[in-house]
Amino acid sequence: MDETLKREIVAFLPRLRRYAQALTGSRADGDDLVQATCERAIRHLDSWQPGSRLDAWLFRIARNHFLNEVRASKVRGPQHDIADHENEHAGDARPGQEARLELARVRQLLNQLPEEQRSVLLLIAVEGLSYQETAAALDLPMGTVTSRLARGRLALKGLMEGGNLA
Amino acid sequence: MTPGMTILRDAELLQLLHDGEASVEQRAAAEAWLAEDPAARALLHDLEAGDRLLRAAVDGPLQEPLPAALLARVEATLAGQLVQLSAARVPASAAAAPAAAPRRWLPLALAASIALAVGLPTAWYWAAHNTEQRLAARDVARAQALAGLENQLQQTLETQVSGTPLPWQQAGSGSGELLAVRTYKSAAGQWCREYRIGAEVLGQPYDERGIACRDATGRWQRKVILLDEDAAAPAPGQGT
Repeated sequence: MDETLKREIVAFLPRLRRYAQALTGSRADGDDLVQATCERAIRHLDSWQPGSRLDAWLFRIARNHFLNEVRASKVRGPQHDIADHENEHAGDARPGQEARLELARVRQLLNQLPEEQRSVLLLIAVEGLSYQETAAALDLPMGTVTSRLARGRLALKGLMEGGNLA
Repeated sequence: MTPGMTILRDAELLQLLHDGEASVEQRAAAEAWLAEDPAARALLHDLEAGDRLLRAAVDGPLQEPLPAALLARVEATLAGQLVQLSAARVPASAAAAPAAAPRRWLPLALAASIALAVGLPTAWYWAAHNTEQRLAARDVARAQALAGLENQLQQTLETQVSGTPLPWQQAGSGSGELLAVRTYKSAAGQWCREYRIGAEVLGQPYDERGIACRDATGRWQRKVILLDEDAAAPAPGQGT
């Protein structure tokens, strides 16, 4: 059973990485979070309920770790590390660049949302979890999930339309 | 839903529809609203466009291969921890070796400083010289031990089945056990093996686990080294 679980975890890594990077707003921090999540998952295998969704369980671990450890220990100030994504492609000034800049901007704005809205938005709109699965992963009542989701979407739209929250 | 209960025609209704969370009644209500009200259609369109943009913005990790270093770290974590769950640490057979008195150079240094304090240049010179020699000899001994361990690691990774330890014993250096834990093929098509070393080198415990991959010349290069449970250290440079 362990081998199967391991294979499933490894197969799930790209999605875990997507969530972790979007949550932390940084490639490097996201990858550290992925690693830490796997460590915790293995250490707390007993809290895994076979038959339940592995992705929701791992998202939950990642998010809790982020809240407890990563964010608490952040003394570095705002991360503009997101710009990493832009720098990767900084070399080619081709037509696609405008679109890339827009995507980079979306990532930056996403990072301005409160974590509670960001996580709900990412799990539902990006990772495709149901409201109920999200509520379970984040320890929230369903109603709170719905309202945070709506507020998160609205805030992101507002930011993209030019308003700056800060 | 209670019959006769009205369903609010608001953004939340469209959100439920959009996220696939609407009940049959809500779905019907939303569709009726969309059919007659362009504003509702615009709202739904915004929702869809916003989510699409968000997905595209964060999708980078799914568009690129998993970085080998991250995969190796995770594999080591998964493999290492599972090994620990199912079995104890690799037993250092060195534990059975006689407790050799660790070579002490500290008293010499102390002697040197005393000599210095009481102003005996000759004694100081000899003591310091002696200490340096002892230290140099120790460095050489350690380098020899690590080289021996490295050879044995190459041997283990090249010839041993996963799970079958290979003992290591080197006169004057130490002893222990090396174990290939598992084997896999990296994304780049290289053969990689997770290994564990439990040994005693010059009287000190030496535990290492990590991942090494076989390069084109047939040499196993360490990619990830974990010296203790959680600390990940980068592979040391060339040599060892």
